[in-house]
Amino acid sequence: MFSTLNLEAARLARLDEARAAARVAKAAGVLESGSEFADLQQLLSNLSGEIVGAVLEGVFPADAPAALWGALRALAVDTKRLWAVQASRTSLPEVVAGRISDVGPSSVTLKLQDGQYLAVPRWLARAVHREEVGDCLAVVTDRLEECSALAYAIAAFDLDASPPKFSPFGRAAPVRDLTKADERLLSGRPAPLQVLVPVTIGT
Amino acid sequence: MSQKVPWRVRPAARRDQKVLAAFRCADPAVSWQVEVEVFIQRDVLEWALDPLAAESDPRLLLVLDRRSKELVGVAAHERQVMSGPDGSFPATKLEVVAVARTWQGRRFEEGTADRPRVSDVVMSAVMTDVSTRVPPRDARVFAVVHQDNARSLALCRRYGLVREMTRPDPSYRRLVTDHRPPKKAARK
Repeated sequence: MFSTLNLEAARLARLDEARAAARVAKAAGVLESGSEFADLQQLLSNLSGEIVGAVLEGVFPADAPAALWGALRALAVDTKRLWAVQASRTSLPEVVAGRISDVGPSSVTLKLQDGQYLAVPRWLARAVHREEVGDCLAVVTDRLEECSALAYAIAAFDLDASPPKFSPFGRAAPVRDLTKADERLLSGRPAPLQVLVPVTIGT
Repeated sequence: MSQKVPWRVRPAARRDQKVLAAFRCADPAVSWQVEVEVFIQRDVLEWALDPLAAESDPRLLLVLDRRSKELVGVAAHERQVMSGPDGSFPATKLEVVAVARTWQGRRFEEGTADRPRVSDVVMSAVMTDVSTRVPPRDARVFAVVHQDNARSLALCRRYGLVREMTRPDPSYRRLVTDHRPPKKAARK
């Protein structure tokens, strides 16, 4: 497990920005050797593969322990602080984060922390499980040349909010994961459906 | 000449937004009931009409009283794939099934014993719709029901959702249709 700053250092190294890469890697090392990072690793090592997989995909499962939320929060606060320090000395990609305020057929509207609005392609938001009003989303923009940039979405959490509550509704509902016992149950042939009242579906 | 039934079932359309927004099925003091009502009032139409979800074949059905044209019940379902450590299983998720507060516990044409319960008409409409989709759906149907929702748990059982998978949350049960043992290979 690495800090995002470490990934950023690798990117800078690929761009031949050796000094900047070394500086960011040093900052990443501070984080990765800290107690918050160790706490997160310890917590994740005790959780099921389903929960860890969900967290890595940006979904905080309702059955995940509250301590995990606390550990993520502590690490995010430290990362944000170090990222800001490094960004003032190196050209790190621009990160904007906010909450989805509107969902259209092809885009979602992100209300940013400074009150501005940003349209994001819906498929990009969907890829990180963020396409409902109220969801938190971050967009990273890495300028390549004067007229080109690479943008990617990252699932975001509002770390000042309470841990998310389970809801059975919507396509993001965590209701499709099976255990081995569930798989055994479903391995037979499903019984025919039962209809007790004849019903015609109109148009 | 066949007699018309006192209800009408049809898929929802964009024009139904107002009627769905006014749908009431919850006791305001019961949070899991309010959650259902809010989903129907605010989200279910977008859920059903989402062009990016067309592959899942989402269906939103409205059950109306033929005489008063009142919205009696709402039901929605879609194709989903459930995944585990060893594989995946096609299934249909009952997204929501709800009866309007004023119709809960009633039968169509009150006082007539052979008239079906409103909840049976709503649930039969879902099951009929699932079984007639093209391309055909898998007969594996599941629903996620709050553990205190005794009426819905009983309704699910009546329609064959008699097996229970692991809970997705301590307060919610995940019911699925019965499964028969896999056929053994015929011996020569």
